[in-house]
Amino acid sequence: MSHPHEPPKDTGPAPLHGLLAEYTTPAEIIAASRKVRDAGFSRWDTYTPFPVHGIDKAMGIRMTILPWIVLGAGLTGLTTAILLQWWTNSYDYPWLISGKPMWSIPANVPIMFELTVLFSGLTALIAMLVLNNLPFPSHPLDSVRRFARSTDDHFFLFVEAADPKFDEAATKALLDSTHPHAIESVLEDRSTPDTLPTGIIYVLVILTVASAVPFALAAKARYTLSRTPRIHIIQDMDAQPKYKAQRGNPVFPDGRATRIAEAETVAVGELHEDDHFFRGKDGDNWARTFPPGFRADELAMQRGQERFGIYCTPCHGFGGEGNGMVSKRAEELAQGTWTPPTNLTEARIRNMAVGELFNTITNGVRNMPPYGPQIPTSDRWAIILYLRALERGHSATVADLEPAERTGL
Amino acid sequence: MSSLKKKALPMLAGGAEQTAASTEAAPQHGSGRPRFWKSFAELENTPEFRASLEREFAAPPTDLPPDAPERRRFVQLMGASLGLAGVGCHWQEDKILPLTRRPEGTIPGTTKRYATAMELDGVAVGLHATSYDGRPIKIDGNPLHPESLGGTSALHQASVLGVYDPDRSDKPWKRSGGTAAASSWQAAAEFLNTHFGRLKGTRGYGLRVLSERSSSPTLALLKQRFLAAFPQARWSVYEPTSGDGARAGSLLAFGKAHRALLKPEAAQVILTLDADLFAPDFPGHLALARSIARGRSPDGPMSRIYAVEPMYTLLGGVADHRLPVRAEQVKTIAAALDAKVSELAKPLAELGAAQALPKSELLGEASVAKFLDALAKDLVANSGKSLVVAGPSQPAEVHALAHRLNAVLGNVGRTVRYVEDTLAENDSDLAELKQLADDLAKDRVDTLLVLGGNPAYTAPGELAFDTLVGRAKTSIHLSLYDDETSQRCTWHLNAAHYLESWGDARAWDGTISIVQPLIAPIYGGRSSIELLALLLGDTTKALDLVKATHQAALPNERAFRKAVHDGVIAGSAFPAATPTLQGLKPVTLDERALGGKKLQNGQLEVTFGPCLKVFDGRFANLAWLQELPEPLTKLTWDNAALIAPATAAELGVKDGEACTVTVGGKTVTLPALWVPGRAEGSVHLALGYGRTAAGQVAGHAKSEVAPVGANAYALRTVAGYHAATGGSAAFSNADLPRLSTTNDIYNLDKIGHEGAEERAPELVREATLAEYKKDPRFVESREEPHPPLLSLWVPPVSYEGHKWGMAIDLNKCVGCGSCVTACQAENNIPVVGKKNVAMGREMLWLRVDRYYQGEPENAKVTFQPIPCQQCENAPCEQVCPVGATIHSHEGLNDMVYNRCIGTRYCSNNCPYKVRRFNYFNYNVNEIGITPYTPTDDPKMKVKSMVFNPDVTVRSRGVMEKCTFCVQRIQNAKIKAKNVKQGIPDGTIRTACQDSCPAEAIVFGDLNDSGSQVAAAHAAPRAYALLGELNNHPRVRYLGRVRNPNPELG
Amino acid sequence: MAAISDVNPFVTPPTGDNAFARITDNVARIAETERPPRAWYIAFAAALVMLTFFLGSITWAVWNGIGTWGNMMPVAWGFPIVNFVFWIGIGHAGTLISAILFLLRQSWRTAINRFAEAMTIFAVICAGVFPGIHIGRPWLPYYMMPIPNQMDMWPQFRSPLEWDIFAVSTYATISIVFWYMGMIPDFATFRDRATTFWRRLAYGVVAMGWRGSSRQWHRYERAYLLLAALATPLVLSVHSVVSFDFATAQLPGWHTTLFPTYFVAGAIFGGFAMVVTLAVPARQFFGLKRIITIKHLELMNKVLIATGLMVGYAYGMEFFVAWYSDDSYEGFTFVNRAFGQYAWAYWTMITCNVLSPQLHWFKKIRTSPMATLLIGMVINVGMWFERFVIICTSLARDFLPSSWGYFVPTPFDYMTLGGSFGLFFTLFLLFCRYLPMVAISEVKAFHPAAHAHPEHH
Repeated sequence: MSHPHEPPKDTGPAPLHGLLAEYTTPAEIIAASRKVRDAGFSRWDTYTPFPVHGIDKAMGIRMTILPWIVLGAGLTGLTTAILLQWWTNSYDYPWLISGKPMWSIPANVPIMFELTVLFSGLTALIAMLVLNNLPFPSHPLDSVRRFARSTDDHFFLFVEAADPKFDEAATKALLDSTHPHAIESVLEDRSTPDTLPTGIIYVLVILTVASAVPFALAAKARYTLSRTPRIHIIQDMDAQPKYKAQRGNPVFPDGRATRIAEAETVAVGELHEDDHFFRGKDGDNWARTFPPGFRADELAMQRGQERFGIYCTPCHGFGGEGNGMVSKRAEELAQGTWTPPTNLTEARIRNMAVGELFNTITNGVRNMPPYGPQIPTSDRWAIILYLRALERGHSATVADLEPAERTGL
Repeated sequence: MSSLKKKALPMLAGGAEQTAASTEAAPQHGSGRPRFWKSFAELENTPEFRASLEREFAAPPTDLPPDAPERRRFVQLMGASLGLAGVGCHWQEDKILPLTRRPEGTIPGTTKRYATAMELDGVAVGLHATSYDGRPIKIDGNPLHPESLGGTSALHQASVLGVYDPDRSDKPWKRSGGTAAASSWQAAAEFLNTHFGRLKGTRGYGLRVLSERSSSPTLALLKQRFLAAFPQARWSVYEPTSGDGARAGSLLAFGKAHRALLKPEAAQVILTLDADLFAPDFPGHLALARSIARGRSPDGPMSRIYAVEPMYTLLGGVADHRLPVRAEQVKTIAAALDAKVSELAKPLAELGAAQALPKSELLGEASVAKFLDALAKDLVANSGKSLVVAGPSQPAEVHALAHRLNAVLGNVGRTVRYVEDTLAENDSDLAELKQLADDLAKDRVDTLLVLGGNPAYTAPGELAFDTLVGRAKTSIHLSLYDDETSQRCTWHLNAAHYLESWGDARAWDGTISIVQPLIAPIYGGRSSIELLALLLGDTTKALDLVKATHQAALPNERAFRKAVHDGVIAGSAFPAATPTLQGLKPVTLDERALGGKKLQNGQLEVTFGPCLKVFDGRFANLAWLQELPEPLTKLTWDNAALIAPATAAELGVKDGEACTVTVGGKTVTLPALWVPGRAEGSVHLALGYGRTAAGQVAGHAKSEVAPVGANAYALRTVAGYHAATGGSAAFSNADLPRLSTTNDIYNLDKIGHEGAEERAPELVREATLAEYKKDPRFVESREEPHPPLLSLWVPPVSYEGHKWGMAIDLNKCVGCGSCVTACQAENNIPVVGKKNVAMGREMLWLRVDRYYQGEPENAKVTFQPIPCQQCENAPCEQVCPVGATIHSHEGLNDMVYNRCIGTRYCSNNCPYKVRRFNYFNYNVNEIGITPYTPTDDPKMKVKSMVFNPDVTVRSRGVMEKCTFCVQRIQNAKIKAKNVKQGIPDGTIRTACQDSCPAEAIVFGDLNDSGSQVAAAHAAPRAYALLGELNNHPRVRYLGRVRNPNPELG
Repeated sequence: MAAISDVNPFVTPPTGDNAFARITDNVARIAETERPPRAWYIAFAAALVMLTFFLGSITWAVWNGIGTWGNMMPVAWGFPIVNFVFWIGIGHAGTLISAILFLLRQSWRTAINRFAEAMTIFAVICAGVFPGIHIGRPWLPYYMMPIPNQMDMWPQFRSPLEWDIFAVSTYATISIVFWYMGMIPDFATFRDRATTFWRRLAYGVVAMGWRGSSRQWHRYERAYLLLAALATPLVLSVHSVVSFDFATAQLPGWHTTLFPTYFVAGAIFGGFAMVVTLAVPARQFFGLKRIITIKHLELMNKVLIATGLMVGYAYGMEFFVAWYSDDSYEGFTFVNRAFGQYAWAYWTMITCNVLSPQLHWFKKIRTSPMATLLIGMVINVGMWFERFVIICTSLARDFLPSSWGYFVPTPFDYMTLGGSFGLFFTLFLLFCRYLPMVAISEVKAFHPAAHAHPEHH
């Protein structure tokens, strides 16, 4: 850790930095200031433990622009407040609150005021520091012992050697004429090192690096994949002890929260008394007709086609010949466990009672799963209707064509 | 095929196997882990299993090696790992476990309703249970059922909590000496077979059965078979609530047991003799509430109700005139009334002689005499349009007199019908119980079989039944909980909840309902039917037994399905009977009955009655009910000695402080509560408290959970079963926890009292019928004077589309509190426990305010349910800094839970204080539904099944409040959207509205001019609570109209 | 003389060959002395203990849920908000003294403005804690800030609580700026007097290399003047905004236009009371009697009489308005306040806030440091009760009697209240030990010797 007060590095007389005059009362420093000002010096300043009344005039200091900066900041704050409140509450996400209009000034005045003050206040400080080019780590006069009293009880006037009007002897004479308490010619300061102490540098470097870590982690989280769910310390209502549809509950042997209704229970509105419509039964044997409740019309046909396309084609194929994609793949794999789907256009099916078809769709057969749960009853009938049309197409003969069409053959 | 199903999905298998499985798997203790984990571990490694995984196309099931598991089984087991998916500090993983074989018509995440029935004290109330993914989550009334007509009581609402009560017994226990050993149904069955096999040899010598009252025809048949198999056995029935009064009374009056079916709707003048028509122990209370409400429309013919009762009852709240007299004096009043009425009405001779006017100090009192004269005149003037009802706790003579009065007034067939009571097992429950007690004491009982009930706790303390039970060599108790009785029996068998088992039951009028299960027994319990079948060596399933019973009425499958679907068997009610009244002997009146109003030389009368909340104590462990404020006292988590201020002052008993009540040397120490309208010289103790083996909620000595309240059964005697005389009460300096009441209006300091009195008339606006006829808009004149209400702004929205609103008719509301519990069940409202209630932190979204007016001796009471008023200019919204409560474009005041940070500012600014705040994580860490934590405790996994999945389970630190059941609104809107139709009025019903037996609450769309709610809002009686604040509440109250007798003014 | 110097090392008159030097010495040596008076150690130890309670109780509440406090329905705002308003009130005198008195050119302010400002800042820090911890989910207060988030939700700017957030944070920021800026020259003084490297470094860093050049002074004075001009309306606004939390609500007892003025007056009242409570011991123990003179105390006590009367007027006016409004709810609230369940709190408030300051009419009393101290403390108690009365009695009995309740604080409530004083005094004692307790440069500037008239030279 290097010490600011270590002895000068290079020997030999240092160049003159300027002349420092010391006074004991405000009156003297003001008088002196006048003289120096009138002498037309430009690079000089006075140093006092408190703002001395009237010294501005004596030194000819011009009014600072700081107030204007603050005013600007204030206006910015005001605008920010207005925009913020308007955009958030009445434009980006308008809320209906207590039957009040989406945007009305009165409710927004307090925050407008606060932001105005906040912006101006902070600016006032920052502007003051910047204009005074603070922070200012080391001052050339720091090395002058007596100068320490400038913040205690004495008043100093310093003229820089760099001033064009500066001439060591003349200036000294001028200052003498102000009856200073003391005059001292200040040499260029070599005592304070030009570089920051290494310790401080290290600290700064470490801090900079450390400050980057969080961002690095964030970036990692963002751009890499992980199988563990994200960290979520306070669960609040994100994990609720209730069982939504199809969730699990280990207290049951099958681990499901979903329970199957007890056999033979009947839910309200599920009496389903119409055997023909709901079971495809006509008395004790399979119904051979469509149920009266079902309207076999164009709409039903279209519906049937659509449903057939969704549920049946994967196995039975679009033509119903039992050559759907799934079936094909299964046969390619030839795992020996596959029962190929029925060709729906074959005679056996064609002659099968609609009731029995309905039953097959509802409850499944061999490795065809039951579709009852998935396809609403009327849709099942619609599918059968479409299936019948398909079969008709397959079993069509020339005789079925219009004479006009036959000529096309 | 079926064999495959069994393997694939155990849940599809028959009940027995399922129950066996779940008993194994259901974890017993926090540490206990379901057994199937082992099998899972093995499972992972079986080669067949890996093969089946590699196989892309599952083989046709028939090809499977017999023991090879399938992929779907694997899926099921994976589901179980949820148990292990620890919450920790990571986002909780959630697995979807679809059913591989979804039964037709079941769509995940949708609800279905099933008709079923709940039996209480031998009377069934038909219900609709809502099931979500096969789990019952909500109970409502079955509109087709004569007992319910769609309404429910708080007890029914809370019963669904009972299904998932973690304290329910999950296995049979075998006890001998002081030691209890966990057993299984298998072991139990073996024991029972051998034991009852032996008893068959002795033809059931020394076998006693004590069953709770049941109206189940199937059980009745089994009982016959049982008694046939064990002819020496004696079968007794005991219920702690109902007395023998009603039955004995009808015997006295008609020579045969009859049931009275009331039709107050048709009555102009109604007199109740210590009868709370709305109490859960009064047969048909739900239907009666509706009937009376319909008969009291101020726009139609409005009935006038007189109540003669020792303490304020729900009916007393509705009554236009109340005469508080001691229970023992009701007989005197009845006799006097008979005398006066007979004198005026000149009854036919065959009705027998009238009672002579008793010489009584009480009748001497001017007010009483005036009351009786006016009443008698009113009754006679409305002959044929009047109704006299005696309460179940009154002795036979009072019931007989009531029958006589109805006959004299020609009400029979008009306002009251009779049916023969074919279910009356015996003449007197008490006699039976006493007999049994004697037998036990004399060691005449070899085997005691207790079907349900909890006699060791509910029997009169005098009989010391709790000690006597142990005297039987073998005692078997079938019950939901391992309770006081079970712990004194050699065998405890865990029963199935009514929502878990097939059965049947009769309404008061005899209508039969099929009880269908909503879920397989979670703890593998069995119903009484199943147990009896087991004892008879009958392996038929309960369902088939029930089917067999109703073979005649329901010959085929189709008919049976219909009956199950409807929840009632049409035309199964008892045939109407026209019993002939026999002349009554003069009633016997002791000097106390003839005495005056004032306390008789310190000789207190102590009355006992079932609690409106926990009934006889069987519902004590249902936290919803414990936290439900008792309608009149607003008391939660406790019972108290209810006493009239005057009497209390005499005895030096301080309000809210401990007192000891003594009857026949036995004493009970409990807090006293001064209540208005209580007869002097009389103390009331609610039964059902002071449980020592109920569970973590109501008290469990073994796990050092202090009992809730004090056990009043201890003071009960056979003689003073309902009203013990010669009791005494004295101040005690016992240090009891402070009473937790939710609405302390009545006991306030002077200033507060005056303030409340002053503003009450504006809050609950009332008028007499005459006033109403003169000025139908009387509600306006009751309003706080205020300047014209001008808004600063034009409202930014004009609520086109839907505009939800509610109307509550104060004239119909009986204050029963059913809506409060219904709301709790629907909206996952946590229970906060006694301490927090005492601090005013109860969470109930809907509260029923109770206002007393007038002098304490006989104050008038009015109830006012207060949900969120859904103000259009909601004060709560503007103050929320994070927009957690904002207004919907349908006018709902929405809560955004996950946005709420809990500043509680909204509550401060809510004039109705309907907002509730989660000061702790009540639903998980605190009591919640029943006290089990943490979330991965298996018991928590069970109890949390009661949560409504459509509603957020709020965590701590967020505000909540009534949402008008927004989830129901949304579901209805989605349905309507799918079928591209509007929402007809009445499709959306809020939970409170659904449960209300009196139809006091109406909900709907105000923009739909034809809707009920729009009409209600337009009604002249409609007013907005605190409307002068210009909040534009969406709830309107319909002012209450009383119909006093001008003569009594 | 060890014994004496133990008690007070500052008995010896300040050294220096002129007035300025003596002022510097008088203030600076407080921070430079090896060991502060024993009283400081005792006070600091006590403060630390209370601070631990504070943190402990907060942790407990955050861990278990804020139900550990007595808050309930209907009194959803209990101690935490009472404390919040109380501390915010305290936090007014500082900036007021610095800013308003500065603008009014009240030279006597220079003696006390520095630690009045410090007091302000520490009070605001104490206040700032409560809104954060009193909410149900204390991990989410940032929901109240306009931070873009995935929920696309914003704060609700119509809420007075939202105004509060901005008002209080602005007030805190500006007060700190004002305070710090005032201290820059004094830091420079400390730096230049520093004897060790570390002191020099530390004060050097915070002094930012201030050299007191007249050109710097020129801009510095401008900035300071502007800050004062800004802070003045800010002070008035803060407590007005806090009062909006209540005034804009519908609750009887809260809903009055009187509140902003009433609250500001009360805040100044309480703030000054706290200043005298701190000034008396400070001048006692740190030998500042030459700077903070009896005259200063007397002036402040006069302010107390004035503001005390204002507050008393407000109390009376509330009743008048309640009666005049002819609103039965409003009327009941105030009758209930004075004679109902919380009468004890109400009359405590009246005694402390209205009656006790009247003693200052007697010169004997208002010039006695001990009396000043005692009355100051009493007023602080009274001001806390004022907030309690406003918040709790109004909430406990609002519109519907059915929801009426009675607020009973739990031990944790008391721990948090007491603990907040721990936080306050810890900070304040550290300030006394290490920072310029008096604005050295300003005191010098107002010293007769500073008024130079070079003309007669």
